[in-house]
Amino acid sequence: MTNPYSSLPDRNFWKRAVSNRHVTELSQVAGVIPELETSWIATAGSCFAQHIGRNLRKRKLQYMDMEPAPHILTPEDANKLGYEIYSCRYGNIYTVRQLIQLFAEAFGKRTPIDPVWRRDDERYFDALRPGVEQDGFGCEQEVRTLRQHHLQRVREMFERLDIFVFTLGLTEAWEDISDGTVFPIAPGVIAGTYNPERHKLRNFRYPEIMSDLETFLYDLRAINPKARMLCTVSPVPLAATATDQHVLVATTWSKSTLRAVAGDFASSHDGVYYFPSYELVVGQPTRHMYYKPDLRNVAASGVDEVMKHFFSSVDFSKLTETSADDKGSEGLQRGTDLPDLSAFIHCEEDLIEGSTK
Amino acid sequence: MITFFGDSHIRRLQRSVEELPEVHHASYNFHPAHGRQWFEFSLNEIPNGFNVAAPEIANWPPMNLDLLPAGPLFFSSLFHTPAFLDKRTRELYCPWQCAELANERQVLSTASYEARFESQCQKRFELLELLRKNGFDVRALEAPKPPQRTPNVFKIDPEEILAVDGMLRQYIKRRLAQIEVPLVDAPASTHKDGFTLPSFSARGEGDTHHGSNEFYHLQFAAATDSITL
Repeated sequence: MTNPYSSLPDRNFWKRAVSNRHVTELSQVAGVIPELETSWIATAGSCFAQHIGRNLRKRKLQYMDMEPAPHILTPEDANKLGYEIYSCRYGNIYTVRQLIQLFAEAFGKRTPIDPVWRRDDERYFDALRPGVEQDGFGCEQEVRTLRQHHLQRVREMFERLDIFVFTLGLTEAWEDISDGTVFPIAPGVIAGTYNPERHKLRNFRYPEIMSDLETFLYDLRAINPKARMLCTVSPVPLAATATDQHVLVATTWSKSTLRAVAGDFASSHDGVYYFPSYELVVGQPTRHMYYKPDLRNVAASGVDEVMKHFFSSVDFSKLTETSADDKGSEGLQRGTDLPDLSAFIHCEEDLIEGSTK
Repeated sequence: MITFFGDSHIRRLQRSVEELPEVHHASYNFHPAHGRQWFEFSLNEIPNGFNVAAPEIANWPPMNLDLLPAGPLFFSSLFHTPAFLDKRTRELYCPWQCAELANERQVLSTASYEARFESQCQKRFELLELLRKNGFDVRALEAPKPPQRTPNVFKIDPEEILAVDGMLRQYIKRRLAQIEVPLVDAPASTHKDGFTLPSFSARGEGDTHHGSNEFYHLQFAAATDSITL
């Protein structure tokens, strides 16, 4: 007698695929990402996405770095100044709304009303990437000039990439209601002034996030029809919630929403994939051992395990000899050997708690 | 005894001072070889003090702090042209102040340049601070800085020179204040915003870099005045 489960592989059964295996022996968790070996890959997203970019470089895939670290800087200084974190120096992009705003601004379709934040000590910050230069800039003009240069590189990145890896991080964000601009961090945490009349909390729901992802993919393919997308969800819990919920409850709601959207979005579009970095850290097999003692940050062993799965389908013998010349830009370069700065993860969110003391 | 350390600017200072009949030369020491490479040196603790050495640089005389003469020590060349003006750097990067000249080059922030200044000048600051903490009367001396660097050697847009050297000047002044080392600024009448006026810039034809004799006369006066103050 047969039933619908009779012919399914072991990976479909909890007892065979999970219960009887050590977490490090899980296999076939992630689907195959076609042509990863020969694609130009760009990354963005919330803090955890930084690991993906670093590992793409380390394993010498075709990682796009459109704003490479100047050779005149030490690796530590470059990291402090926001280089080599993502494919461009946009800092963490926690929400999909931030992503579509960046895209629109890069292509001249949007201009935020309040893009520069001032701190009390007369240092100025790019409100859309306030963590990129941690000590801020000397004047407003410097912020604006460097942002224009940055947007030019962002534009080139979107036009040229083959695969865009995006890690969804948060549903909560702070919005300037005067023009709808969503910031990566609340005004007043790093710089700027929080004005309750002007800045409102947004807790994006499933339909809004899905709509934003659809908009982004539509716009991206309008300028780069071959573009594919790989979505992941960050396993890093919220540093703080501005809702009236307990932070644990808010985290579960937020991550569940993001996970559901990412899965539906990937299954609804050709050339869009989901990679389960969230499950590989949060799932039952880990017994939460991949978290550091703060139960928030992911330990190096957890990152390594996620990356093992990420690259499990990559045939490294297929890595082509393509070089920057093939793409016609010095910004496109195969991953290079970088010093190990994996312990230095930029996370503006981390600053929220400190700002309340 | 008043001692001057530095590079070719200190040599120029020495020569111009020698022209001054009223100066009692025996009271002054000039060490023009402690110049542009001195960010390469190492500070080594020895039984009775510190030894400053740059073994990989042939013409760099070791400086034993115990053998330094008493009296004020002036250090020049801090504000001088470090390697950030090398060809590769100029071809790849452009300061944000002149982003319109960038073309394909990467536009860099003040913080990026300052990180570079610090990595290049850190040893100099360490030495000055060490000397000060060991009781020496140590001072920094600002060399002339014409906006036309050395046209025959460096082909750099003057706007970029103004931007990068301006950032360097501000940074070094800030750092000297942090380590409490007094600065003898370029004389006020010789410069505007730190850049030497044309009348004080030229030593002679083809050299718009080293400054005129008059500049050095005024600088020497400023240096000696700072001591009596």
